[in-house]
Amino acid sequence: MINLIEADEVFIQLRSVNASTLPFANNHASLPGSIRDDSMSISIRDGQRFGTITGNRFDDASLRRMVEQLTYITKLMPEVEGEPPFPDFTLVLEAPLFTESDEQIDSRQRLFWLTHLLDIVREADLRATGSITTTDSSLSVATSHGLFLHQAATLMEGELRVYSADGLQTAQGKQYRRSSNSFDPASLARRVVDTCIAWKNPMEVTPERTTSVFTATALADMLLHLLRQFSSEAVAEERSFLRRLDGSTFVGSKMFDERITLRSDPFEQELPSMPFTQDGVEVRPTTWVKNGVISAMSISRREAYRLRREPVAVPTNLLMDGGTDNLEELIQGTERALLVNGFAQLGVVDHSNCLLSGSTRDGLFLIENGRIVSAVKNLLLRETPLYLLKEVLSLGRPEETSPSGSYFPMKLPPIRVKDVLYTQASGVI
Amino acid sequence: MKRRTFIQISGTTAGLLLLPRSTLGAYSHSLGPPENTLSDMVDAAVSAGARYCDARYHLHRSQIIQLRKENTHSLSDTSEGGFSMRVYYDGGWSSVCFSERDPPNLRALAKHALAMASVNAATARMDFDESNRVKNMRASWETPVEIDPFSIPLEEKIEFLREIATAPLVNPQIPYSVANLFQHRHDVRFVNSYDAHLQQTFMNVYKNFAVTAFDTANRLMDSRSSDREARGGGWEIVQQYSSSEMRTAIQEVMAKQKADSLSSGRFDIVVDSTVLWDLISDTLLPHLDPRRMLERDGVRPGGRWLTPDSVGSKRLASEALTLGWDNTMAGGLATCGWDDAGRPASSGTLIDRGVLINAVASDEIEFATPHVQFTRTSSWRLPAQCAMPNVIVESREGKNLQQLIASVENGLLIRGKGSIVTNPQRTLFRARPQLGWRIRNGERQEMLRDFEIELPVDQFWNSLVEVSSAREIQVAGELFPDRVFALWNQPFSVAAPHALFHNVPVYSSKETMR
Repeated sequence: MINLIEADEVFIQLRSVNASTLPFANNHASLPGSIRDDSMSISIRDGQRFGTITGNRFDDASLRRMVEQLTYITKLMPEVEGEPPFPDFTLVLEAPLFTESDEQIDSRQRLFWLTHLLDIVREADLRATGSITTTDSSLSVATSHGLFLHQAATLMEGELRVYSADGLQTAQGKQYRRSSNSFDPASLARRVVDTCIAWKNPMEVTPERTTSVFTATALADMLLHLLRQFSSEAVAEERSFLRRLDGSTFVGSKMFDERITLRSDPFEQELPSMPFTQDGVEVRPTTWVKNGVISAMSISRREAYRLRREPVAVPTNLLMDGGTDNLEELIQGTERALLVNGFAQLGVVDHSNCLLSGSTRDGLFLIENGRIVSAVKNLLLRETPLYLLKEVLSLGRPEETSPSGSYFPMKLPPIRVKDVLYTQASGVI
Repeated sequence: MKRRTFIQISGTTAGLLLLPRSTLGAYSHSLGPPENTLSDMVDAAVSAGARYCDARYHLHRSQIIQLRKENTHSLSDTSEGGFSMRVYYDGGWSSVCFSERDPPNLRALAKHALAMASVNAATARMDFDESNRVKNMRASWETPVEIDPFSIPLEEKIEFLREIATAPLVNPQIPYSVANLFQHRHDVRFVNSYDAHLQQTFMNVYKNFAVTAFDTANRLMDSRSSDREARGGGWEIVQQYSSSEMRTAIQEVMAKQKADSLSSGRFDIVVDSTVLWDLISDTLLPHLDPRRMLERDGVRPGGRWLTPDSVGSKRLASEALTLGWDNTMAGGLATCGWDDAGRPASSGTLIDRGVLINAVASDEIEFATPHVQFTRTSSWRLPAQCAMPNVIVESREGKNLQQLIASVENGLLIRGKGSIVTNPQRTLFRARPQLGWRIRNGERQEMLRDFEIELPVDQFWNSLVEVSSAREIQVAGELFPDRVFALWNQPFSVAAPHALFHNVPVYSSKETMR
């Protein structure tokens, strides 16, 4: 098909998604649905003009119209300078992300997952909202320069928020698995229900600098913002802590505690991820921070073309070294601290130092003498992950997690950090 | 998709792509797949044991053009089609859908749909409501269109938008402008297990613009967008544009830059229909959705304004508000011949002189109290489910806008789509219109800025004094209603006149604006 399109360059992306979702709200199943979808996106360059068209109709007449329309649209687009050519041939192996198709999952299995989850929530006299989704998908990209990449993946997603009947207690959690064998929404439900029940009659504490224990999920929410700044474009646009005042970068500088190492590897045995980006760049194993020293940042195709360098793809997973203690053991070794499970609306307020602001949520607790002694009313956190990684006291055992927004595979330790800044009560339930 | 399949696609299309290229202004839009597939889907579900099944083929073409200043910023022309099917089986509902490529084995698909319906029924069984479903019929309906918008060459559309977008740039205080054009066509075929075969075509267009003015000395930035809204219809709606709309917008945004800030106080407020549209959409309509009443909208429990028992007795507004639904409304985005459950378009009353008498529900929600059924989707990918119909504020002989203003001694006139935010329970809102003028002794006077209205939703609607004449009703379309309520994915329209509210608290927002 690429050879038959009359253009200077062609880029094609094919997507396939097969998914089934069981949504539920207030302990009732909502309308379940399944989708079987294939779609295609074609981009071309004709001179200095670029055009893109998408569609999902693959009969001959539709494809012909799609190509004609794309050619027509491209002629109407303004000329653009400085765009890199579409990627050349690269050999990228398929990562082990596919285990089974959505169709292979038996409906009795789905029924078991749903009823078991809801039973656990109902028995605790709580209300559940969320969904159970199983997906198998694939992405193929090809260019007129000989690139052909393909990746298939399976993903099971359990998403759950529970509330008490009066709405004054809540907790949420997500579970992502690559196989139905390891997918266990009931364990998700038990964890979320336990947190919700424990977060009862929260006490007020004075917002101030307080030693804090962050769960791996809470840390994931913070590090996602940090990770986005490991980018040459972010540096150029003054959206990164890696930018020095003179415009150079902190790559090569020691910024964090000696124990901090952050890396990514799509072929990591326990946490594989996409081995190429949607625009066809190979994701290579990369160490972003080595023993506290900044060692790399991503370089987009456009930026690499401008700098005459090889692009460095953004990571598709994140792996952080840690210690040996699990969360319970980390808590046991803590004299006094806040335990932070997650956040609401955590956002960057100052890109120059990756300063984040947002309320704690889904379980804020007080730890005293090695045990949780009380729930705590939520506080507004105003802190940068740079400080966390610099002033970390203890690192726990890394565990699989993801930021709360959408799936981004991470393996992070729970951490204990001294003097984390909370500025005021947030009022968030 | 396997590499081999990818290559197969390339191979099968090779011959056709060798055909000479032609420059097409618009390609013909044909409903490709045979209706047999829909009948086969229904047959497969019924054979598998479904009590009821309906199947749809949905072909959607959209063309979206955006100009930023004089440049074409984005240009997309997409055509996507797919099949979907709803089944009722064993006390539960489910929905399955698939794109045109690689149609699945229909027996296996039906079996899967029934299994999913069983899972749905496992938490709460629902009765099947047979009422008002179309049976034994072959019929069609389409949006009345004078000029097919897809027949207009893209060059002409871009030039039309460029004229709009560049007009304000001669003014040095207005360095930024955008002009957008959205055009959608939906061809839908429907077959159900009662041997009904329906064919419908929906068309809508939406042209808008926005200008942004800067006052660098005073660090002010203000925007004014067009008042016209998405409408069901064709290119003739776009042709109604007059350059005086842009001139007025430029004058208004410049005047706003020079306007004084308003001090907090309580005022009688004349609300132009361009603001009343959003106030109805954002603060009133979500409460009429049973998922909000049943607390199945994901919002934390507690604080809900309405429960199912509210229907038939609860006062939501003053007697001045009567709100109807109308899916036969000219230009309405939810206007249709039948909904996606095969129920004919209807009209009636939701709120009668301030009292809620009907909610809006659909098959997949068990809801015993009085309601209108409306089931719809704007894509084959999204399951057809409860959607908001067009709504209309009923109005008879009344005052016009000038007469409403004349009846106010000390107040404000507000106009233009601004922003509205609510608390999660939607019982409290804050609105910031684009424009506001002081009214003194029955006359509109100077423009004001930096103010917002904030009060409980029930207090606001109970402070409604009167609405203007039916002759002043204007129709606004909500193309992206999930902006308002996350569970709504189907466009609808609101028809509203102007309205007068009494003694409304208004707050200065000077600090937050500058």
